Amino acid sequence: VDDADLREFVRTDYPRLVGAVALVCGSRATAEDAVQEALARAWERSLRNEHIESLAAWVTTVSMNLARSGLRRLRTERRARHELRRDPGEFAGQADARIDLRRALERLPRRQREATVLRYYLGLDVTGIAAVMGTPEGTTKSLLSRARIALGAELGIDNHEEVPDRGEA
Amino acid sequence: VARLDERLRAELDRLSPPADPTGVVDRILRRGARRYALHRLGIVALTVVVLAGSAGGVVALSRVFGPPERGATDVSGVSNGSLAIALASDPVTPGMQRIALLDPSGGEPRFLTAGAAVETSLTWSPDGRRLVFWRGGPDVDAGVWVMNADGGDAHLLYGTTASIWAIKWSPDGSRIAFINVEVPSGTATELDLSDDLYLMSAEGTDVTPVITDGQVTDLDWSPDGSQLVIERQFGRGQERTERDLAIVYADGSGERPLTSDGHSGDPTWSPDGSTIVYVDSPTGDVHDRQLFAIAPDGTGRRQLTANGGSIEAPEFSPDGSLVAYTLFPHADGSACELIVMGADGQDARPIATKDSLGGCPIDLAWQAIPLGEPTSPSPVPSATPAETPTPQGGTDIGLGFRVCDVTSVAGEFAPGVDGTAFVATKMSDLGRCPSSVTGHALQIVAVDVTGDGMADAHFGPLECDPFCTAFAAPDVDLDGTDELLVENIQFTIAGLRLYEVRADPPDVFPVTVSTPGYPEGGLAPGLEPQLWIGGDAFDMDTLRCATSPGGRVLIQTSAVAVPGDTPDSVWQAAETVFALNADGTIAVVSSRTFQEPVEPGPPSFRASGDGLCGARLPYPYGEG
Repeated sequence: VDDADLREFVRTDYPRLVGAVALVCGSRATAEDAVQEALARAWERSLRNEHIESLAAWVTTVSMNLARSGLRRLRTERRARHELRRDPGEFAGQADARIDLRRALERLPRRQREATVLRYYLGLDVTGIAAVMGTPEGTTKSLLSRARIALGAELGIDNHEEVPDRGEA
Repeated sequence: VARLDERLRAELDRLSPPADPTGVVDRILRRGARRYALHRLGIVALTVVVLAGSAGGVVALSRVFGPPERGATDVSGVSNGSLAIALASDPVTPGMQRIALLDPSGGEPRFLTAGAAVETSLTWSPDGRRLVFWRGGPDVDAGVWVMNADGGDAHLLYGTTASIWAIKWSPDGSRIAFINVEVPSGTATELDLSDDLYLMSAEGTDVTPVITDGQVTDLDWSPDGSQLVIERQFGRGQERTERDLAIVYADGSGERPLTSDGHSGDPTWSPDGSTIVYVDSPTGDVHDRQLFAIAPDGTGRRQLTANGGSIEAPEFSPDGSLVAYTLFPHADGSACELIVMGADGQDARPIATKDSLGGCPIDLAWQAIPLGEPTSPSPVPSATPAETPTPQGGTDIGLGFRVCDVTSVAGEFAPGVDGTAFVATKMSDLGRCPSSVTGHALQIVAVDVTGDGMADAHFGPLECDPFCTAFAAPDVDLDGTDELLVENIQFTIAGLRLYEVRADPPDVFPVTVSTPGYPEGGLAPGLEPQLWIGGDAFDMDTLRCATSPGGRVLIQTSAVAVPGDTPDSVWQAAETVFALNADGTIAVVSSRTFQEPVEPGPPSFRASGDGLCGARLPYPYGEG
């Protein structure tokens, strides 16, 4: 990872990865902290002449793991609460449908939520999701399938209709 | 009605818009440089190891266990060679998977492949000389590959764009069975997949579909090569909720069910042909998957394990005396252990963990060594044990049990007495020092209030994430005796917990927030206040003492520089003021947010000295 790699990643991948981690952990502040920490660790590794083959995959995995860290989450969320008192809030003013989806996401088990976000927000395929989550592909597909059923039920949507992947419509 | 997939994509996009990357690079470079400096000092060595393990890093730790007591019985003219394992995520290149060899008694993994691809579905040739596996991924000739036992001469045996699972070499070495999975583009549900049983020659020719109804998802050969035990997954609604085992002849004919409970899978057939070990859910819960054994005629079903977790990938040893499997103890898959047990379910021993391997084994294949041949290759023994046998039995600090990984700070916990506070890990009953990396360490805090070097009181277990150390002993309330701060290591930020220490009678206990607290700030009554200190030039947490009209207070400030390293950036800070009560609780005196310009030199909310309420802070939080 050199300086150019890092700048390119921040320009192209960082914005959406933060969005994804925020969807999983429920806190944008935590997500930004986690992704930045993951990138800092990648950079530190490069200073130690360690090689990272795929920066995107590495940072996605590490930032998702970091966002699980309870203490760090507590700290950033407390800061976010302070900020929210000055601000209407990151989810304020959103349409009801999106609030429904957010609540439905929050009700999902953690791993189903991660798989859903990796699939539908980051657009990863099953193999990519399995690699990021460290789960077998069969388990990954099961997680996605269960998440779809739960979300469909929560949102009152017939989930028997399938749509093609992005770019294939 | 909107279609679910479309709506999920569209609304997730709207729900969480992309972040603004302005100023992020400089902040990351500063953080990275600070981490590097700390790493060189060894400050974060432990936590680097933890993350390396959990996120697929490069530092591998291994547990050391004695060799299995079982396994001497020869029932098939072979001895047990190495375990080939496919890791769910490559330790160097997350996103990829690669193959390693592991001695069945443990030790460090020896990687056979470079981690530049996704590699899984392992099977050894019956003579243990070659390993067949599926390789896929970007810029890879995807398909079934073969290589020598030492990783040499890897080449494509059968190229295909289909996903290949459950590759199994026939006992006579002539054929290879596998599950051919066609994945229609853009689909995610399991009913969209077509899982078919195929056979091909050991040379990768004569590829022949055997069962093509799309539901066969796993298999193993009978030892005489005449039959296969197969796993079938059955759909219900939009997902495959049920799986069961059946036995078929090798040409796909004569199928008869073996199980019918709807949650049986992952079969492995014993080398003597008498038993099929498989995974079943005694409670029907997908997170409670245990090993069962059953005779091929469906009789004699018995439960072999009761681990409290989910088991995957069982594999008989070539001599039939052992079974290896992966145990996921938690539903979130955050940890795993590779376990070897007797074929009767006894003497289960963990031989590796997610941390020691750098990932969780998602597929296993046990190498057979024909009798009379040397075992090769031999994995390198572990050089860096994470669970260290301690022949001396750890340290006695007067608690009635022995401890290890002791950290301590000096403090005056009784007037005029030089005492000591310890944070330590309770040793296991086996006399081992549990690894904090695997989350099995039971940590306690203890205090010596009489100055004799032995603890007089202790409290625990501590909820550490991942590891706690003694940090400092400040006199927070200015009553002449010290309290204790314990650090929960969090990289460049120290997460701190405050403990009250009493001398008469000796006691140590966590300080909790008194009523009414500050619930909207995460400080509800009864909770331990989470304190932080550290950070970098853009993100700083400070903890300092000050004297107010009511006495000494502790001020926690958490600030971020916005918009980063620019001349006009400002600190956006949140400040909470605490006062320690006489009963050992802590009151939230006030809370506010404020801003101040980022200027050369320390900000106003940083302590002027390098200590905290008179206590010396460890480097890098103080001058050391």
